[in-house]
Amino acid sequence: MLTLQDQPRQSEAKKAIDLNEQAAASEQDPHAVTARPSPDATPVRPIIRAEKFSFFYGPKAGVRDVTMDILPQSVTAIIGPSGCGKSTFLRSINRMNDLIPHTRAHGTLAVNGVDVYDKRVNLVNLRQQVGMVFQKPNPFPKSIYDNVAYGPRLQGVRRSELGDLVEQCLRGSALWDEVKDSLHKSAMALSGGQQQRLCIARTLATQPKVLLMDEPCSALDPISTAKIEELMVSLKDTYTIVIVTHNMQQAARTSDRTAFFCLGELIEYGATKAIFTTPSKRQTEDYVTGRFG
Amino acid sequence: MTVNLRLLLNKLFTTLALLSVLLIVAALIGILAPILWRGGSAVVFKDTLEFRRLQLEQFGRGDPQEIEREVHQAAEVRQRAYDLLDRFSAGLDTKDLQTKVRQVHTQVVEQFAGGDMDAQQRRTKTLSRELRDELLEALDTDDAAQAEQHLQNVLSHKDDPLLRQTAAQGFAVIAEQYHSVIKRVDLKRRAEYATALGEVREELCALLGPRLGDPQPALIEKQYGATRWDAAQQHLDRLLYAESWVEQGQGVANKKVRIPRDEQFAGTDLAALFPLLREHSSEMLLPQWTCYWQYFIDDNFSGHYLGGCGPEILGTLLITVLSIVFALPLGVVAAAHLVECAADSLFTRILRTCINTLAGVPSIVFGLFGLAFFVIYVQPRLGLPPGSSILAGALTLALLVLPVIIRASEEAIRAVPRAYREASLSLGASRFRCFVGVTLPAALPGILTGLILSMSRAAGETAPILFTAGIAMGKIPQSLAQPTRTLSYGSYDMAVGDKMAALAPHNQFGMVMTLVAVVLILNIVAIVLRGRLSKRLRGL
Repeated sequence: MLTLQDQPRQSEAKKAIDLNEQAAASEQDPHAVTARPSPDATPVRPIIRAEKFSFFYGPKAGVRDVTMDILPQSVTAIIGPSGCGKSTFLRSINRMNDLIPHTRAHGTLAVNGVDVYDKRVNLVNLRQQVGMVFQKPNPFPKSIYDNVAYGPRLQGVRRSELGDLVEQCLRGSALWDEVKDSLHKSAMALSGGQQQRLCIARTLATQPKVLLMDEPCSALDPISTAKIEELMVSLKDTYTIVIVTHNMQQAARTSDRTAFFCLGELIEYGATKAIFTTPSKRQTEDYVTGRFG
Repeated sequence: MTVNLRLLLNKLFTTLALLSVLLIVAALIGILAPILWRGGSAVVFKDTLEFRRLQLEQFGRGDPQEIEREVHQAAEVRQRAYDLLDRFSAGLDTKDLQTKVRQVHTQVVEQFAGGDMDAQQRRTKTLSRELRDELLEALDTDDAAQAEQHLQNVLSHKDDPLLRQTAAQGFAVIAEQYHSVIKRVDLKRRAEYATALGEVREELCALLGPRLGDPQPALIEKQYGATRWDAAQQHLDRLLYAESWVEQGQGVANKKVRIPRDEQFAGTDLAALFPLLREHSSEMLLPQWTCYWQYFIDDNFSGHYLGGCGPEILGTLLITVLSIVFALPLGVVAAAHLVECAADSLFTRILRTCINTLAGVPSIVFGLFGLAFFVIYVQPRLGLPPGSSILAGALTLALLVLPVIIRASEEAIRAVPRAYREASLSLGASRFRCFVGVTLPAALPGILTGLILSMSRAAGETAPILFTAGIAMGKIPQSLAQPTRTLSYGSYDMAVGDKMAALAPHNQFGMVMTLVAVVLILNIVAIVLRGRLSKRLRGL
């Protein structure tokens, strides 16, 4: 079984793997790909790489021939009108689309150099490394503590270290101060914004490399949205974040790079400032200025 | 449609809904209340001294000194009744006296035995024989005048010098005794009195139990009188009134009439017995309200005539719990497979059809299947003794409730929001751990609903356990390979044929009430549990 990186099952404290270490490791990896230079940064190996990736729901194509690189420790936003394949692409990265019957994928979609659609990939490991936050907050009907501890428990983290990990993640998602006295209470009793932050904390608990966020703020009020956007900026240093959003202002505010999808195809991909101020494609300009979508 | 009309229709609909709910509640109360009320009389009732004696001697419950005191207290009053009875029967039953007469003559003969008898002795012996015959005639005859004559004959020889210093004096004693009797008793009606007296004696024994000092009967139910005040009243009624059939003419059915026994025995000694009984029966039996909660623990005596239904409750609980233990895991796993793993193939559709069909199979068919398969085929192969067993019954019942559990579990698992599953999988759970850790706990309330329904069914089913696990009478089972009594089967058996049970209807009601109560309690516990789980799932 191919794993993205071999996680020891023991209780050693998990640290984020240094990019240099990872780079050294993938020198020997036959699937390693060379980084493509990006226009405004020093050459950095992409963490997610799509090459002519297509995904089909039955006969219909959700996304077609997408080729893009997502760089580590950055926020990449995917924007576009409804039904353009943003969520499809996002969910393909951690293979959540497998839950839908009668689908198939073509092309390559590699995370850390490993094609996720390779038959030998360990899905459990992939999903631990690539976490996801959904549109509608979906905490488990358990206590706050049990929600955050769910992932680590699956990984076999010892009970004695669970408490610290839970606190660390809740702090990381700016929820600790609000719930530190009621960790045993049910997560369903929290407000929408708190639940979404709890879901983020829960995803952080498995110590992933990548955070996929599928319109995380669309169901929330502006204040919660602002808090989560702050969160994203603070998390950027440690994690790679890919966010799908309908809200262009949010994309403009928070992301480093933006990809514009339309009708299943990647129209334009580049630095956020460039996309929003000087888009090179006509469609991009039309969308970004609000002429359609 | 105008707004007013719509509002009116709304109100109408609400009223109808309310009425239907009230109807259901009324039906429930209408069905349950009489059962619980009548059955309650098996637990809360007016008991008698005999009952308290029974509890003390058979179960060791109660204060011995208190009971002793009460027995003496009642004995005083009872003795009056017994005295009347004795006096009357002495007059009626001459067999004793006849035996005594013969004994006297034998004694006389023995006195002269050994060696030759002289002429006087021979004459004495002849006279003795004559007197004996006269006396026997007197005792035998129905005609008072004849009896009088015979007795006078005997008494005339009282001072005969021949009989002096012999045992023949005994003849005179008996003759005098009997003489006083025939003055009071109408000899012609002796046969009639004898039957009626027999009935009275029997009823009195049933009412008060065997007399102190008499040998104890072997059967426990005969060792005690009426243990319940309502049963005592029935015995009393039979004591106070005789029933006979009166001809109404040709072609018309005979009519049953009740004759007060006062009239039947009018003019005799016994006539005083009945007013005595009527007025002082409560002093003879000392009735008291009691709560016999041990009804649910005690075993029964002599076919449910006395005692409680403890073993039946145990049997029902054992079989129900065991059948759930078999059916629940199997059902939940089957439902999990149908929801999570099964593709929409022909095989799956056939499987579903089979499960649905199984739900409609009559329970007696399950019973016969259980008999043929579990009892006759499987049990010998497992090395278990042949015949009914709790295990076979539980397995049969498990099959019976399996479709219900599968259906309810399937619905419950399907109803778990996809969001939970997605969240779980996206955190790196395998499908198995996702199911066990997230889906199953969330589906628990629905599964519990299936459990409640199946538990009620399993507890009350009679037909499946008829052949596989149920017996009407027998020991408390020591192992799962033995059959057991159950509430459902016991109720059926008592209603259908048990003679002793017909004499104790309160036991029948009690058993049915216990069955209803057991099912109610099981349901309530499960419903409360489900409520708590639901609340937790909703985060309250």
